[in-house]
Amino acid sequence: MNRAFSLIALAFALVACGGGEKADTGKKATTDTAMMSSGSYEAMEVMDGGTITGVVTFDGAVPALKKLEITKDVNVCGKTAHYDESLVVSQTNGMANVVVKITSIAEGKGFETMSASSEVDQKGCAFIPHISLVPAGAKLTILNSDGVLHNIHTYSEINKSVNVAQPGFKKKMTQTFAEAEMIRVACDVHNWMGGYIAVADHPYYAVTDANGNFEIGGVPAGTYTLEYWQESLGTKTAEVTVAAGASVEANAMFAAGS
Amino acid sequence: MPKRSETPLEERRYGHFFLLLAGLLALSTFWAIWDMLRERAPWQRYQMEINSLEYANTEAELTAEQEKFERRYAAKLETLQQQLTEAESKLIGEDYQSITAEVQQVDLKIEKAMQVYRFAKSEYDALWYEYKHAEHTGHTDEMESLRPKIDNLQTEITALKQAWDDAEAEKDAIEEREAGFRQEITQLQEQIAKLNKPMDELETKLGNISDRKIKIEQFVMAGFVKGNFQSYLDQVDRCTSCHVNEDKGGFDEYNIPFKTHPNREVLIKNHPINQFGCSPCHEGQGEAIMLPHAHGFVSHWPKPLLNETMVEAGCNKCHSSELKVEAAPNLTRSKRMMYDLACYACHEVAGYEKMRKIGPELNSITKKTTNEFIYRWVKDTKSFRQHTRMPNPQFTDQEALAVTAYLNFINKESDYSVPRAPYGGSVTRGENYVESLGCKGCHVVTDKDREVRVTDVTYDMAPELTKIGSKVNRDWLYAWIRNPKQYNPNTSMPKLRLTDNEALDIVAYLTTQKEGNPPAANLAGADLDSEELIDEGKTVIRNFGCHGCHEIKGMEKEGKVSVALDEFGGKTHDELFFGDAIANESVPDDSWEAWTIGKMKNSRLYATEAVVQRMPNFEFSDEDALSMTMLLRSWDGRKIGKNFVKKIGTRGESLEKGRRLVRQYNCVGCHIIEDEGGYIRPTVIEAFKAKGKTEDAALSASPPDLIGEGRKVQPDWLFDFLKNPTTNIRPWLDIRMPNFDFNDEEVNTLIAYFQALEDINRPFSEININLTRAEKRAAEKLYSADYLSCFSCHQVGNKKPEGPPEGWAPDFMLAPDRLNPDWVSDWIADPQAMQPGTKMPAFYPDIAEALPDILEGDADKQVEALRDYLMNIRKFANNL
Repeated sequence: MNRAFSLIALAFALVACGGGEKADTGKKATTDTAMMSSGSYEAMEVMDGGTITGVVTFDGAVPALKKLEITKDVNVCGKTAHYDESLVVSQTNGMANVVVKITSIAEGKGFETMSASSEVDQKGCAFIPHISLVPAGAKLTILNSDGVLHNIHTYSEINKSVNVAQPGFKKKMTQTFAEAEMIRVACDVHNWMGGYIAVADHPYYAVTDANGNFEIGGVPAGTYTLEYWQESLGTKTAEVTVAAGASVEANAMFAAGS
Repeated sequence: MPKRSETPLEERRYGHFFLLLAGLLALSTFWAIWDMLRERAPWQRYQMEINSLEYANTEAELTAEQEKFERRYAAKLETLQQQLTEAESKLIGEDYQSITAEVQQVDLKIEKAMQVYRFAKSEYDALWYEYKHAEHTGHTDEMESLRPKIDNLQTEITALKQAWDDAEAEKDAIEEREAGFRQEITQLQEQIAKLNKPMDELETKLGNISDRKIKIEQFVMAGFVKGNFQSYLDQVDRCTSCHVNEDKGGFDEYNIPFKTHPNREVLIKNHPINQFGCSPCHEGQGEAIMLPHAHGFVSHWPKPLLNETMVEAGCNKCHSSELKVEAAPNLTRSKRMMYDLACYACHEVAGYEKMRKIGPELNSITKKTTNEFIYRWVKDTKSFRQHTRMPNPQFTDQEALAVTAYLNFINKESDYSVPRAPYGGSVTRGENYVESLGCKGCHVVTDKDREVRVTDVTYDMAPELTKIGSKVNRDWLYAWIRNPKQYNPNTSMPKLRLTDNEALDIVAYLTTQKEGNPPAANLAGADLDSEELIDEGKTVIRNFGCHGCHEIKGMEKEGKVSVALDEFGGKTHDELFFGDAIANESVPDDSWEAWTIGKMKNSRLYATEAVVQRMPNFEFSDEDALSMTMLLRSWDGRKIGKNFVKKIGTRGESLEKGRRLVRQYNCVGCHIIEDEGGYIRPTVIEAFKAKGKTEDAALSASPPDLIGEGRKVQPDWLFDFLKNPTTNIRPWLDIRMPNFDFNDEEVNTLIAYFQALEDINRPFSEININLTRAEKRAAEKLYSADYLSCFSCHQVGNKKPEGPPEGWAPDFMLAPDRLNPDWVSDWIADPQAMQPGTKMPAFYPDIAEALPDILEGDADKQVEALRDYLMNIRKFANNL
């Protein structure tokens, strides 16, 4: 009896260490762990961080700003002229309202160091600033300085789209956006109003100024992919290597219709 | 050595034979075990493999977690532990030590108090029994003597209970003191546990994986399918022995058999594996646990595993009564094709018995077009309209001539006559009307429309009009677009309530839409009135079954010309006639699939000189042919047990009838219904872009999304609207809701359908909503410009909002008759939840807090006031 058992045991042992091709499960342990670690951003102290600066320019003749027709609440909205802000180029060809960000970074400086716009105002029936930059999960204050009905209607894919009324008497409200995304904002009461909210999942984001300049500081030394996003011309990317304590320039140029 | 035969029997030795045989036996035993484990039990290997992989993955996660921990929290843990040690050392102080002694003392005290109390209680109970006994036996004197004793004991017990409670309270106080001492320690321990939590969880998971048993999994589906002897047979599946993770989330990225079932949330949730198994949907040989046996790719197994393109055929076994099958998009599409293309016109199809004829009637066709066109059309429809729903009869010249002659003959008896259309009409204005009134919801009018239009099917639901001027005559067209039913009472083409001038302009435009190089079709030499030819035409029509789709005089008594399809999917390849197709390699092999796909792509593929094939040619694309093949596969004639077949119920029937009607009238050409349709939108966007307007403006100018319609509108209103549509809900739309001349049954079907979509059943009834004075005062404020500013976008009768019309919102004056009050309140409370993406913003609940003076700042009350005011708004319209 004992012998029979030991024979079977031997057979099992043979099978266990025997060859035989292994079925392909399609996924290996390593990829799993890689996916695990690409989780949420963690803030830490950045010693001797570098700085990325640059200017985003437009390749071609400076396009004229298109004037928008004000058709409603004219006594409030029509005080100043409104222009289509989907492509704003300075006389030096600098492009305003380009969102520049490091595409992927797991650890780095805290959000308090990001030059975020904690509020967006609806003033003269326009969103000011045109692009608001807000950390994911943080409160964005939305003001209504006009005293007429506005609504914040967001068009997003990752975050839940919202459409909230802000009547004239409600001067201030807040919204939070949980996930990083470029979110278009419109007002259905005044159909010419348009803007964007850039929701950032790490603080290495910047919006170019009127002359196309930007600066991202406190970057841990390393090589990164920078992404430049412009609402009507799309995105561009560039590799940039940041040395500890040093400043590096990363310019970009958009061509019409690119 | 003596010869073996010379050795006496009893002295012969058999040792070496036995050794050899024993060796063989041992080897074959080894081989048997080896074969069983390696070849016959792949499931063991798979289970072991996924377990070890999961183990490795979890271990790797654990290592990563530990590394992260080292990097981020190691220092913190050390500090915490140090603090813990300090806190613990503090406890050694005298205060804490004395607590232990106190607890012991108080425990003793509690014990004593409890005992004394319980003794007293038993004594009391005994006395009470005696007292009651005396009462029942009528010994009043004994009762009287017992009464004071009982009362005394009662007092005593209350006191003793109090003493016990006091002791307990004392203990609680001591323990609270102790907890106070330990509080810091507890907190620190909690913090440490929290830091360790992710790692602890992973370690538990590792333990669970190691404990798994390797075994065969098996499910029995009792009475699944009817056998050859009238009884329903069980089916057994062991598939999950290898397919280990089908019902486990998180394995979507893995390869088969380790992968999670696609769309598990819907498919497995609605069909739990322990009830439905796998083979009822997927086919294959469920009992087998070896490849390829399990997948059924072995001889004499009639139902091998359905591959990726055929798998949804499995759904139709139990869902055959539904036109739309959730989570089976390909099946749904193929069923729609079957319905739209009217396979039931020539074949018996279960569930589609009494159907209308889908083609136009042909008894007055010569008033519409010429004999030359008819001749050319029946020879080759696709050369004139590539996307027509009509399959190509591909008649020979002689057949075409005969059919033309017969149609010409019966048309002479038609009493339909077309008056002459007036002269004039502007091509430009006509083009504009065609673009803006909504014709493009169903018709492709320009090549650009063809380019931008995307629908759920590859054929047109209504005729393409790019060459319409080469087909129909002007007088007929003018009469037709003004009132289509006059020519063809069964048409789906609605009336657009065109004025004579609008109609004339549209006719002017459409008659310019001509074919570039029409093929020569001269019937001058033919004698269409020849009786012989007319008789021949009648025979051709009867044989080919044109009357399946068209009303044709003389064919009233004819039936379906082809075979029933309900068992076609169960045919074997030797029952199918391949003609010369295999010999000349027109089909890849002699399988059922190859035959059917070939037939769908070219219905005359298997015709030979001896065997005539008459099925008109749908000329399906590869994708469409595959869809139809899948549907045919599902009709295999097997009877499925009643516990498995989907019971659609009353609601399902309402949905089914409604869905058929929605397709018949192509409502989805304009409207989005059940998240599908709105096929006109790309053409509206194109037209707006051409005028320099935005896409948003185009979407505002498009027909409305009918999401939640059944809950939104009152059935009375919907009945009237469908019978007699108006354009005053959204006056800014140029697109007109046309008049379909629905009969009462159709309207009621649509109302029941929209309600069934919302899972409600509302009667036709008048709605009266009471508006209190307080509500009226509140609502007047809320509606005004200083508050919610509703009139900023909403029209009220003649009072129109500022700005361009595409920014306006529906007229409040229509609400009392049109909207359901409960829908109105839900809508005001959260419009995005009712119709995602709507322009109507959410005011509530946030606004209510900001308005504490109005109805106490209560959101529900404010919404109700807004609703009640709206439902009564006609009374106040003049004051607004």
